[in-house]
Amino acid sequence: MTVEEAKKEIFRVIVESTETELEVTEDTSLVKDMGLSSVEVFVLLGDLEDAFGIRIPASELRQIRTAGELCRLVISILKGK
Amino acid sequence: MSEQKVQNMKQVLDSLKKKTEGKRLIRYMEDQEVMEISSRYFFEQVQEEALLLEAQGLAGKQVGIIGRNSWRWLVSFCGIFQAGAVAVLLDRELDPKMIGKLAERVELAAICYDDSAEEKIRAAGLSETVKRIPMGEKTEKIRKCSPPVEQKGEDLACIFFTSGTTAESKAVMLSQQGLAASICSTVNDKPFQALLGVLPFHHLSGFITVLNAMYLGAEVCLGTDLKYFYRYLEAMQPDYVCVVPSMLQLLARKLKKGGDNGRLLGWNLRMIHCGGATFCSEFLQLLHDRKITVVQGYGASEAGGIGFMWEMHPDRPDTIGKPPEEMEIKIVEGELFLRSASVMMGYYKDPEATSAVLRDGWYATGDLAREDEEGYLYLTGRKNNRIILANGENVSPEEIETRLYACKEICEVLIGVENRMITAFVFPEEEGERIRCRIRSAIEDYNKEVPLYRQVQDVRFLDKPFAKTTGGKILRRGMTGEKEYDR
Repeated sequence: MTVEEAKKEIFRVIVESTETELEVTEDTSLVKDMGLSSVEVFVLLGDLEDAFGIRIPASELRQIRTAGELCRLVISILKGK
Repeated sequence: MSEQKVQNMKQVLDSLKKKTEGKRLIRYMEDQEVMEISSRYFFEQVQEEALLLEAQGLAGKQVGIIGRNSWRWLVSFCGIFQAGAVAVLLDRELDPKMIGKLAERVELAAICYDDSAEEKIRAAGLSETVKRIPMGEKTEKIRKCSPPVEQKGEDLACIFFTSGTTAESKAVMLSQQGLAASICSTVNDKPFQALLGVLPFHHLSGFITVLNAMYLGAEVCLGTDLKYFYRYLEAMQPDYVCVVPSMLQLLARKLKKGGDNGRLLGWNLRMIHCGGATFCSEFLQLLHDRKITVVQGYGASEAGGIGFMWEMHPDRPDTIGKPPEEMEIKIVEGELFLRSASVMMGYYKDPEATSAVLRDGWYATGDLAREDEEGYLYLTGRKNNRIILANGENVSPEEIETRLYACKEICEVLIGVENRMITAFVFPEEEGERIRCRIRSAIEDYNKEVPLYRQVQDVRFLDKPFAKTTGGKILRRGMTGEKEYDR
């Protein structure tokens, strides 16, 4: 899977998990723009884990504000697999 | 009615052991696999834990417990009581410095922790005298080495912290009798097979619902990590779950296309208990249509485990219902007071704060309530957040906030006073003048319906959400006083 393919898949999971009607871009803020509650963000992490067969430590969330940052986190975990 | 004869935690543990004998007690997940713990194995582990604690001379002393929701956590918790010690519940999300401060404040003699809290315990700067006890640590067989400690009903059993600002958290003390009454309660009289325990155990609602489910003869499914909330519902198929409003919202969204009891999602959900904050009544009809019973919980940490538990109906969605038999209520000058066998002993070493809220066994909730002619109760605001105007009128900010939350463009709102005007501090769903116009228009609509003194005179838009406690409550600090607001 290329980085671009991974990004596309991550955005698909974000949209599906949160059922957002927003057009999600790398700059979209998970809380401010999408209005996600902390529980919704946790569940989104679980959905990303299932989609990619990875583990995302919840502690990483403190650094994540936008969809782009989440993408970079998932891709870095995928690279380390 | 609760069993009056159960007066202390050792008796509670005996009762739980008998009620669940021969049964599967707990299920939990390791990755994708569902694991099982029998009642027999669980109580054997509790006994071993108790012997370990007794051997370290911890009977009668404060023993901290910190970690994720797990059966090991429950073993340590029960083991502390079996050993005649006092359990002190700590939040693993706190920073190490705060853990150290709280440990010192309540004079911990030891702390049980799991691997998720190990690093923080190391960094907490605990005194050398505090014994570190990793959960599930294998020890050599210990024989009973000390006579059993007699537990009286009025003895201290448990300390936990209210979820206010962490620096000012109050240490709530429950007595042996109060904790026993909380667990051995039959307020929940609706049958269920298996509870999903996903609320953090360091909160009263987290551990009480789980132990109460055992007392009622049900099985407990443990949710260790919120990330896998849906996975737990699918793999372990609990028919009952206790949640807070943000989780209810999530469930309702998923259940839109989930079919009856969520069967199209592979779930088997029949009852949801929602507590912790104002109920999201907009989801009630949807959940009813999916054949799911919704129960509104209302209580307070200080009131212990006995609280309101009212089955909600769409025709009266805003009530907290009627009090259970085990609880007395009264409304004095608008404030709701609760009294039951589970009400706290007081705040640890804080007689001033205790006397401010506890009188003759009555706990002053600080919640404003009204009762209708049929005996249904409704929360109307918080006493201490009252806005007292120059004309002597009192205004409850929560009442206005609840009305304004009907405006979809408002993400968060607090009502306060600025320049002697009732002011709405609003964090909008989106930036932009179009959204701001809609919010102003919603406020004008509200103003048209209320007397002048209750009208919102000014609106201030914020570019970031309000600061919140670890429990997700909005802090009113610096905005409308020192109190917090349930969200």
